[in-house]
Amino acid sequence: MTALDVIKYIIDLGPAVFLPLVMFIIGLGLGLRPAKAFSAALTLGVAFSGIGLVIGFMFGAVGPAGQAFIERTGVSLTALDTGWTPAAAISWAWPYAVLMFPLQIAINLIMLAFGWTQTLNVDMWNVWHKAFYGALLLIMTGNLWVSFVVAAILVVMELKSADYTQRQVHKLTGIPGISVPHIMLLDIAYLAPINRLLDYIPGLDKVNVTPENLRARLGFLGENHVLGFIIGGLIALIGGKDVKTILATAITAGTALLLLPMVAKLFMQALAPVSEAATDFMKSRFKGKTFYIGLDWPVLAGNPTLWSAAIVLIPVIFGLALILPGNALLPFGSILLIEATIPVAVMVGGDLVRTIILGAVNAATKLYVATFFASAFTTLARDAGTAIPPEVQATSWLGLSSWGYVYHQFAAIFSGNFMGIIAVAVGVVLYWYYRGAMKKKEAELGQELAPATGD
Amino acid sequence: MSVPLILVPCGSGVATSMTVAEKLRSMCERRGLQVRVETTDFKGLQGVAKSARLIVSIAAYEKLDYGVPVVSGIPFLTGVGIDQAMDQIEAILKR
Repeated sequence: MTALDVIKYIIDLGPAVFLPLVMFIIGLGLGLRPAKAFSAALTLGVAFSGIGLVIGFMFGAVGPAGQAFIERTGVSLTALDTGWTPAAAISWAWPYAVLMFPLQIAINLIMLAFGWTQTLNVDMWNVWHKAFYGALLLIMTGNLWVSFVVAAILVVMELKSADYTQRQVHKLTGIPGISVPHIMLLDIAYLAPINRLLDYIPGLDKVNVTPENLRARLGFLGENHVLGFIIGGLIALIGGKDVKTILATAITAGTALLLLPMVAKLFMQALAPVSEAATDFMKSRFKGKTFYIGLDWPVLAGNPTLWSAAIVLIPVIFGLALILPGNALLPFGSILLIEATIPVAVMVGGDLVRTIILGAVNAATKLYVATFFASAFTTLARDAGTAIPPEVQATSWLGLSSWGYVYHQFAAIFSGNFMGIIAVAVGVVLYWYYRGAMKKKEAELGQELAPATGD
Repeated sequence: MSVPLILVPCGSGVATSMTVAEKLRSMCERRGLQVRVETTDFKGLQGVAKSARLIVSIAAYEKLDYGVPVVSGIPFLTGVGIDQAMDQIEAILKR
């Protein structure tokens, strides 16, 4: 038996067994006591088992309802939207996922040292996005080093995007010295030109709707269990199920959507030793220098626009899924699509009408992106040990970034598909436009805000 | 008297709020403050806010009134002004 055989044997044990092993070794390497390292490592295995359990539970209820929905309506929405939690789980299941920590940290430190970015990203949780796109592309193209290149490109784009939007974030939150290097904001790149077109619609900016009231009144619709109950019940209702089944499906769906983030918490708990060590390392390296501290998107969550727009968009997204030709995604787990509204809210500074209009555009795009990646996503979920019943033909995630498609086209070039150059070229042009558009906005805001200085 | 509850909300109650909560727990321990710290998400915060003595929010600037005091959680992420934030929390707890 060679060393390679041993590694293969360990990986074949499945992520719920293999990852705790890796985690235990990393924990010891970071100087944790063996007992603590063991506990954290085991928590990771528990997180995998737990999330698999809840996903199976969700599929068991929503799967048959979804199939009845397809048969009755004739609309072929064969890919069930699982929401972000399973996406994160399958990302951590990728054998190379842990390597995304040093990759992100190294790129960030290099860029800071050369003055190529002003953002020090201390958000170690969203490292999973790099693993997610890396894993997806590896399944689709079979080219490991391209996966790493794409992950690196994503790190760079997130940091640059955080720089571009820093003052806008300052204005929205009132908090100086922070920025948001989140993949969600990259959508601004293609939304910015469309936003410019909206300037030509007369009277659009005169419409004055305050998002606060909307959120206070309808906010409960966004709560996970309520949302699951409504959407799950709706799918069963359209599927022509009897009242008993509709109610049972609704309750199960509500349960699943409420439990998923609770179980996902275990991932964070298990990864805490690694992310804390990484964050401390990042902070200690650049003590006393001025930069923006890169944080996860919830710092924006106090803005009522992104929630209100997401709530308004719930029926819109459901309708779009039904009428858009070629869409195969049945929205469920992420139908409160803040991934669609957050970039717009940041770009337009919280204007509700624009956030709803552009949020709908973004959601429509995401339906297609999620459809595009459904097959690869399903394979990854299976590889991660998720039991997918026969009623569920495919799964995907509505929150997938449109850049995922560009990354795929980029990766395809290396497999000899030179048409990919077109998408990549468009991507580069759009990103350049994003830079210009935000720079203008940031310059305007610079006059308004006190000089923003970091720690 | 029951142990006062501090709620820490974020997007999903998973990532940012966990980081803030961890830091908050250890800081409270260091000051000898007996508290329970729980994470939640912004969507469900209105429903559970009343059960807390205070909220430590990374979006403390929001205009929604939860009926309990709100302290900024940003210092627990960036490390800047963390002692002032703890003073604020201690003052509310001892009120």
